[in-house]
This record gives sequence, C-alpha cells and structure tokens, in this order.
Amino acid sequence: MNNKEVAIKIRNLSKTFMIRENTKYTVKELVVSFFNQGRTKSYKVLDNINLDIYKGEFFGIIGGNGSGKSTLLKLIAGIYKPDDGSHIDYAGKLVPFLELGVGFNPDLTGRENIYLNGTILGMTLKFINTKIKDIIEFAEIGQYIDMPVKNYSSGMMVRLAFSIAIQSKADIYLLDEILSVGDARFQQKSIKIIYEFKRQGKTIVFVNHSMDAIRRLCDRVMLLKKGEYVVGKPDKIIKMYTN
Amino acid sequence: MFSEFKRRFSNRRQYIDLLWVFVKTSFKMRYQNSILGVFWVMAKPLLTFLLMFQIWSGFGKNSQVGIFPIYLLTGVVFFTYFQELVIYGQMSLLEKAHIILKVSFPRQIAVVSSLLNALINLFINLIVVFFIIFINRLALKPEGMLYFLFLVITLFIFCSGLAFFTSILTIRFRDLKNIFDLGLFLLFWSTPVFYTLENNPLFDQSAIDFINSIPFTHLLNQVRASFGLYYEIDPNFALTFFIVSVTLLVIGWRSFSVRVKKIAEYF
Repeated sequence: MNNKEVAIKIRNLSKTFMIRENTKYTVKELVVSFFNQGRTKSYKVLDNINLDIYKGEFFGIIGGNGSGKSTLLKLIAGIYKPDDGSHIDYAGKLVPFLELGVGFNPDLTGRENIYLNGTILGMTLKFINTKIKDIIEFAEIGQYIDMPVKNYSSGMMVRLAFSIAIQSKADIYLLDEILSVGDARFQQKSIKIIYEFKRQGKTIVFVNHSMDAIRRLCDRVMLLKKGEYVVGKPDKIIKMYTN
Repeated sequence: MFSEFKRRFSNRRQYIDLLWVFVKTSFKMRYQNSILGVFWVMAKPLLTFLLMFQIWSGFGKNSQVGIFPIYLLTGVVFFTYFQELVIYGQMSLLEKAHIILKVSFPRQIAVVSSLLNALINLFINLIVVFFIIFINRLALKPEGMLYFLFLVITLFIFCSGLAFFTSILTIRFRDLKNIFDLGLFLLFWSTPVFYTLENNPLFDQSAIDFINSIPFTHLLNQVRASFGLYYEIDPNFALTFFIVSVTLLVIGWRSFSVRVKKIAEYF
C-alpha cells in the first residue's frame, strides 16, 4: 500500500474531552458555585494516532462502545477539534454520513427533506434537481414523496435518507453504522452501491458492529480499545477483537 | 492539494444554497400547521400597534411628531425587527445543534440564516406600515427611504456581530436567553417605541434625559426621521452607528471563527 496515494493523513492525533462534574448551564448555578467549581475530569478518548488511509481503500474501524470510533470519524469530518499538536489532512472532497437523515424535519414532505438534507450534505440545489428522480426511485417511496415524513414508516425514512446520502459526490466517505438500514433486500442494494463507490476509487472509512460486513468489505481494519489502536488485515484484527 | 483555502472557495455555491434552504425551512416551519400562517408575522406588531394607539393616541395628537399612527407603527415594527434579530441570532446555534453535531459546515451559515428570517419578517411588516402611510397620505422622500434601508442594513450588521458572541455564549449559559428577554422587555418600555417625548406631560426632564441617553432612542428617532416624522436625519449618528456595527461584526466574526471550533463539545 505504501506506493499508493494517501487520502487521509493522520499524525499525532489525540482527543481529550474535558468533562466538568456538575456542568453549569445557568448563571445562577455559575454564581452559586463560584467558589466550588467542581472537578473537571479529562478523558483521553484517542491517544497519539498515526495513520495513512489510502485512496480507494475501504478502511474499517471496530471497537467496543465508547472506544472512540465515532469520535475519530467526527475528528476527521472536522466536527470535533483535535488536541493541540494533532494533524488531520485529506485530499479531495469528504462527506460524512454519521447519521442518516441529518436535519430531517418530520413536518416537511419527503421531497422538501431531500432538498434540506441534500444541501446539508454539501449538494447544490442544481445538482439535487438533476438527481431527485433517482433519489425517489432508489428509496422506493413513489407516491408518498409529497407526504410529510412524519407519516413514513421508519424503514421508508431511512431508505429515503440513504438514497439522498449516496448521491453526494465525494472522494472520501465516512460511514458510521449506516449500512444496516432497511430490510434485507434494501441492505443488499445499499451494499452494491458501496461496492460501486469502491470500484470508482472512492475512499471509504467505515464503522460497523457487524464483523461479517467488516470482513467482506474492508481492505484494512483498525481496532480501537481504551485509546490505543492496532491496524491490520480484517481477519487478524477481527480475531483480536472477538478474542 | 490540501489547501483549506481552495476547498472553501470551491464550496461557495453549496454554502449559498445551504443558507437559502435554512432560511426557507425555518421560515416555513415557524408557521407550519398554523391556521393563520404568515399572518402571525404581522400579528404581534400589529396588535401591539392597535393597543398602544388606543391608549396613547391622546398624547400623540398633542405632540409635534407628525402623524401619530405612523410614528407608533414605525417604532413598533422597528423594535420588533431588533428584538427578533437579537433572539434569533442568540438561539441560532442551539436550534441547529442536531445538525452541527453531525455535519461540518461553516457555522456562520446557521447564525446568518436565523438573522435573515428577522429581515424577512421586517419586510412583511413593512407592508402594514406602507398601507398606513398610504391611508394617511404621507409623502415619502426617496432619500428618506434610502436612509431607512441603510438603518435596516446597519442594524442587521450590528446584530450579526452581536449574535456571533451570544450564539456561542448561550450554549454555555442558557440563562442568557432569559437575560436578553428581560433586557428587550425593559428596552421596549424605556425607549420611545410607542410614546412620544415631545409635549408629553408624563415625563419630567430627568426622565427625558434618561431616555435620551439610551442609544436605541436615537436609532428610533432616525427611523422616524427617514419617514419624514419630526426628527432630522443626523449624519453623525449614521456614521457612528455604521462604524460601531462594522467593528462589532469584524470582532464578532473573528472571535466566532476561533471559538466555534469547540462548540460541538458544549451541547
């Protein structure tokens, strides 16, 4: 892999959350507790990660709950600020799918939510106009597209959200548990799309709890555990994790 | 290849579209499922105007401020604009927390989109103002209307600068919402939004001096001046207001750009 072009370069990446016991949200609480500020505890979720993710690579991240998988994705996506001295660089356009249907408004119709969610994901209105038919078709929403999404079943909702998300044109995709949406048939359809991304040379960073999906899809896998990490071939890393 | 600068400029179109969709959606959602819909934009200033007119028109008639209904309505509508700019700007990041936690985009878009809703509301309310002006056959001067537009834009700039501070602070200290509500309530009563200072037997000189010491009083006077009501356009005030607003915007933007990087951790 060393000859390949680097898509995401991570150097000395650490992330510490400062959690104050008894967080103060009101001025009254602030004044009352002025002489008793409470203890601020620091939680180092990620510690000195150095990693290159290559262009066209399908990179998996596994680990138990609270191991820092989603935090790592949010750091790469620029949602969280890393600790001082950390560096994250990426080549090309990056789109994070950390949750399907971000910004979905239950009172808006499916069609209106396509425009809302699409622009939040970085699409232009002009681009959405050219893709709206494909989105509706892929989501299998049909005649319900002009109905408020609060009347959709949860399956319809995630199908619509996934269909919008896959239209994003990017070089790097960050996927957090989004391949387990819909019924078995829709999941197969979704995985086909992700394979298509891979075939097009897109870089995919993928968090999933399904070891089967990780084994089938990923070129390399990172195991996160208590701030430490190890990277390697899927079989080896999955074995370490499950043991 | 890794240039943030290049990335920012290539994303300009998508950010404009995102701003537009945010403005459109929040405007629509504010009045979704309500029978009267967009009429609610006008209801608050209009009902305030009608009530205040009923109570204060006696004093208004005796004052020299010109046509009292227009004096009153311009005050109420402009105060409502200021109030909405302050509140919408302050709550802008909190209202979009669910998006900010999941997607990276310039957070300034969330702030500006909320402020633009206040601007849209102002333009809707101006329909009523111009209707009352038409009924009262008040002749408006083009330079006056240009000056009014200048005041509207400058107040928008001022409140944008303010919102770049308050939107972040409100995430940390939720009491600020109540403090600003209280401040705006007090400002409403302590500035000549609905009453006049001229020939008003209710106020002695010390009260008038106090009211005149509040900068918002001068802003209201200038709004009325732009409609040709009693006051004179004051170029010194206009220049000072503009310089203060732009300075606040520049400082607010810079402070926001630095501090906003950590806001996802504060929600």
